[in-house]
Amino acid sequence: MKVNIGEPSFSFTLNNDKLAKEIISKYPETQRFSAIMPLLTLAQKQNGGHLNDPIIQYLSTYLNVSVMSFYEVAKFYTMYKFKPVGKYHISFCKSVVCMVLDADDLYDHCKKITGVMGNEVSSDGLFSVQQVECLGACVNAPVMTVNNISYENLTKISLSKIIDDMKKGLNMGSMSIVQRSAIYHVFKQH
Amino acid sequence: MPKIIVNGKEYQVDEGITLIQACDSLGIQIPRFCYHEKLPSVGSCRMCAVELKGAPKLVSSCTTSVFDGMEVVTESDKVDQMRKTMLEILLINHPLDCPICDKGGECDLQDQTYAYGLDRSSIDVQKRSVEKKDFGPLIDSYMTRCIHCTRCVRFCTEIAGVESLGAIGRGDETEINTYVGMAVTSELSGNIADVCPVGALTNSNYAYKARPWELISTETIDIMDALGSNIKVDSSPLAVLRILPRLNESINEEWLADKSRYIVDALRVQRLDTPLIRENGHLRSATWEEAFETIKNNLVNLKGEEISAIAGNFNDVETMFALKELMESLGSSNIDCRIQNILFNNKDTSSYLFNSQIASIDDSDAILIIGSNPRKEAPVLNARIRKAYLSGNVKIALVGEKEDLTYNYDHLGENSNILQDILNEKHNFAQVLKSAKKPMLILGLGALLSDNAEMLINLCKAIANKFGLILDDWNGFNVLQTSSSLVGGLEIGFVPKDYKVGVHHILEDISVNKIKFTWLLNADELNFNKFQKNTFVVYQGHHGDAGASIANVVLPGCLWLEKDGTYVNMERRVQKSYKCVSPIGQSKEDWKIIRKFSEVIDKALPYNNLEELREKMSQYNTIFNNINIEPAKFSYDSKADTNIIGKSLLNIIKNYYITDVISKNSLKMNECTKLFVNNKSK
Amino acid sequence: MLAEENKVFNNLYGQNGVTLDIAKKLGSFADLKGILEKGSDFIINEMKASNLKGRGGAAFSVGMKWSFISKDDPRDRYLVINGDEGEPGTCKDRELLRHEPYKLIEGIIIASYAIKAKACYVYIRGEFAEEAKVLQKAIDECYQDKLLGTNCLGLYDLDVYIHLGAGAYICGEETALLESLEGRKGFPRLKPPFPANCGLYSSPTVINNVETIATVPAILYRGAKWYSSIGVENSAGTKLFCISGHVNNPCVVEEEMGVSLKDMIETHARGVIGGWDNLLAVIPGGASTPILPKNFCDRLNMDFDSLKGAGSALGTGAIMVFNKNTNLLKVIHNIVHFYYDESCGQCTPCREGSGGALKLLNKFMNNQGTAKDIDALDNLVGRTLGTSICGLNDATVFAVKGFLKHYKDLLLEKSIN
Repeated sequence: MKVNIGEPSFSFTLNNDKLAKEIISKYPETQRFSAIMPLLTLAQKQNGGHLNDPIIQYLSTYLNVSVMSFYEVAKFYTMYKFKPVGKYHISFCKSVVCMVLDADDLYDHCKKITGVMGNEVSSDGLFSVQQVECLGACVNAPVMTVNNISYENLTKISLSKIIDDMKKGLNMGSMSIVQRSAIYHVFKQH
Repeated sequence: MPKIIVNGKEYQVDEGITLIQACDSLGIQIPRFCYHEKLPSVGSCRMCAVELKGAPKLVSSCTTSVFDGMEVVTESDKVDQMRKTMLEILLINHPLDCPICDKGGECDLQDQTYAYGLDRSSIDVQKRSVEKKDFGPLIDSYMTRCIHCTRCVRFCTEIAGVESLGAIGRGDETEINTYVGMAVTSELSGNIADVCPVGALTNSNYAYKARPWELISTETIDIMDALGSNIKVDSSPLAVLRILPRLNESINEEWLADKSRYIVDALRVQRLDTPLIRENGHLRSATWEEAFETIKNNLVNLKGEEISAIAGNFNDVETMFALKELMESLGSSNIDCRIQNILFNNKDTSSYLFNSQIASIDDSDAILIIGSNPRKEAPVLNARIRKAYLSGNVKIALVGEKEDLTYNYDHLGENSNILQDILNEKHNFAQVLKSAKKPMLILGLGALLSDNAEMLINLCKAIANKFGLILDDWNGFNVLQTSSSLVGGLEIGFVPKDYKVGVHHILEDISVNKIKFTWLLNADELNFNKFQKNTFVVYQGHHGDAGASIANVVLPGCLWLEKDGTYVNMERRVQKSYKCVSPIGQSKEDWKIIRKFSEVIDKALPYNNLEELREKMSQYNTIFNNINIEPAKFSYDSKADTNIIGKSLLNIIKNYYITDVISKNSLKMNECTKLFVNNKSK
Repeated sequence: MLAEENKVFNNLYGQNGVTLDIAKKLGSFADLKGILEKGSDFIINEMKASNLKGRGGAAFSVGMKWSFISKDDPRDRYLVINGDEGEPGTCKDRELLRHEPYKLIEGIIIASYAIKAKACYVYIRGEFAEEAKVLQKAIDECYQDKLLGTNCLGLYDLDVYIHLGAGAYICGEETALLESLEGRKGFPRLKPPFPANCGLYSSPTVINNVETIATVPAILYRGAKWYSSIGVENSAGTKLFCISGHVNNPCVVEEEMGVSLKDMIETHARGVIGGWDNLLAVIPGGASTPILPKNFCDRLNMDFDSLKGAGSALGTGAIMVFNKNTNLLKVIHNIVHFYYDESCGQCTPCREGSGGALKLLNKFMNNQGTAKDIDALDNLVGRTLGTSICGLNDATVFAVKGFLKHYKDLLLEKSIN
């Protein structure tokens, strides 16, 4: 039981500080609450994919909004994590279309090949895997996102190749949709 | 005034209220869980839904404003069905552990479930279980019972002004919780157990003590601060089990400060329950006769000026009046109830009162707080200031120590010189006061102790006079008293003939042996170093503390809950308190002790019962005839000396939880001190 | 079927590339100034005449919505674009954000001009980070081209900001979206007051779906008459349909309202996997719309009235196709689980009711359900309809009711007594 919160041990990098100020400027001056979500997102990114109490406290002071306002918001939205995630955080869609196209099997397969047990991060620190509600890409089901970049029309083969390349350290984040599509056939050619 | 039709009957109701308020005022019952009249409406429980003509669905009556021509039906099959449905789905997860729940018997969910004839849900599935939360020493939580009405969250954020609680998570998994194991840090936290409609949050003092139908309830008043909050005391034949607030819109609305609620555990601790006589340096128990004889023997040869009496906290007016008359009969005018040594002038009544009255804070548009932390000195009054602050129509400024008062204010500085600047219009807050329609200042005792009290009062009066704080129907000169018995003492003149002579003069006289006998009435906060070995001290009171430990004779009195009495609050509101439980041991009602002793020394006071005593009191001061407040006339002397020293104004209360002999003996208050003041976790 | 020249979205698949120049070549911003100069009243009347209904699922007349904004209210006004697409089966706005951002921006400019808004927030679900980047790039281009910013075309000032969500389906409900945009939990607001009077930052606000706003330029360029002539009575114009599930070519496709479901599946989606006879059921408008067994689908047209007649709804136009390999109990369980996960927890019926429905279905999934539980489920969804603050609980109710209507037998088969 505590009554005081200590000094936060987190602060924005110079660049993110600049970004944060830009974010705040998007909203009317009297409406700084609006920046709560984008700031949480920014801080989570800086912190390697998850939030913690020092971040909440830092942001609360940064925006001059109560800790509870930040905490309630951070705990409401599912994309804010309070547990460490892997370098590649994989979210599998589990909603109805992906489900009928056997996304559950892919999820199990993914856990097997990444070595992720339960909700933990894999022992090499590379992967964490979770199932999420509809990712809104139903015509390209089954679908997953890795650090918010989507991979669609997955098969066991394409999934294995994606995971392999991640293990090899390929920087998939910098690829365009077209590049990723060419390598993994994960986007539909219309 | 809009006319509305409820269940086919036409009524006129106030403008701008919600439908549920209208129905409440008309005596039409609407069940509710999340709605609470003092909290903002959220319309989330859906229990108060009614049929509104023209609306496609049932509307929640707590969020629908009345309008002219509105037609509603509050009792119909549709409405009935809705209520039953909400109850049934609440019971999907509610554990129905009523037999072991402290709320059992006074639970909104239980009552309404009973009224609508359900005792379980037809949806037979595994119930949700929720981890028990630690909200601090005062509140017990059983969150499995929670129905997510968020009254507690809204109480904390709106009324108490601390964002301690939140509804964390979402959907079915939403839980009421604090931020990462923090305690609920408010002096009003006990109220969240009152607003909880189920047994999720309960009073930790009362855990597993009793069932509500076994309790004996007495409506009385609180004396832990100078507000005079109205309370309901629930007791067994033997002991007080809990203290709850009672609605009084003029004083405490329906809130109660934590100290007033949780000192229940101190009421029977460290009590003086038998007369004591000091023999060979030690106190031994004695009979009343022995005690009185001993006192008498030590009084006989003394002259009036060698005798004194000091009244401390918690004294009812009757006792002080009787003691004053006893002292007069002994020829002594060395009496004082101003134990804090602030020399209030009892002839200048408005100089020590909260003249505007507490409820007027709601209407004020400028508040200057001087050397006070109302959050600690009168938490419920502070909630009023916060309410005014939230209305957005008031400018608040503070001269004195900067502390978190739960609202924003302009901190003008710590030094009392700023007040001179305001008076001389060298400070821009003068303009704020000037342009306000109902400005007030709140003068704290801390300020009066930090600087020259008399000059400071004069200065504040000058400010009040100059900047329109005094109008025909408005007196914005307010002193925030902290003791429940001081105003009463001043009203019956429990002060020396010359008001400029105070307790410190009496103590000086004691130290040079000019005064040889002193009668302490619940007076513990004194500099006892001044007392000489041969000063004869009688201590009359209820708790054994500093006063009793130096006394030659101890006379066990009653707590205010064990006797009938009269108190005058900081507004000059005369209120009666009533006996809730019997006195313990051999202790006696205090005025009777004095009356009895007067007989022993053959100076019998002229009253044989409380009514006769009160009659005399009323003859002395007519305010005791009134149930209303008799406003005091503001007196102002333009030539009065306002030459203050110019000091940093320090607040009088450092630790809210322990301020007196009662709270000192409370386990809960000590736990709170450890946690909130000393920051030591369990 | 929709003729090629009547298509609103001529770059739906990004087949031509996604830049401002290309968009201009394809007709965007061709005569924006000319349209705006006709004035706000003209624009709103034209929108009313076009009979365009909101494409986010609630199908409210767009022109009407805009006309609710009081003309002489001194407060700031806001346009908010709802891109929090997340109803299972629905993925049309994603295509638009990826490939047609300029039509969206042009629509934003027109709509903002009509309601005199100086700022527009585009709320995009957090999972669409890539799509948001595409839109941001398009916005940046438009700023450079002086289509956004101050004194654009000598007619208007307008700033467009993207606000990313962070994973909450409920924020697709317009007032929950506003709460989220204001930095709070996505709790739907009680109505009244409606956003037109008290929306974002307590100011007059219009909230429209991405597809709705992206359709606006085409209507104004080609006229309300043209647009309302497409489709069928009560369901004017074209619509993006998302055909997913057990089809050979799942796709997002623009079609006219009232198009035959079978034709669409056969033509655009190249048929049900295993052939039309292998079809089991279709959910025609997103997870919340009641499921329709095959016999309803043989001659079903995709418009508001026809689907209503069949006991379902057009919703977002998300057609989910299930063939005979599908375990429909798993489907309904999955859908209820979705609503359970996404319930905000504010009001009783949804918070407790969705949990109750899910736990009852769990019993059947674990072969522990009883006939009594079926009645309890039926009773639960029947009684909670219309009792909640927003429509989320009703979505659960419709889905379960549709299932119980056609597939109660599946539960009976599974029950233990």
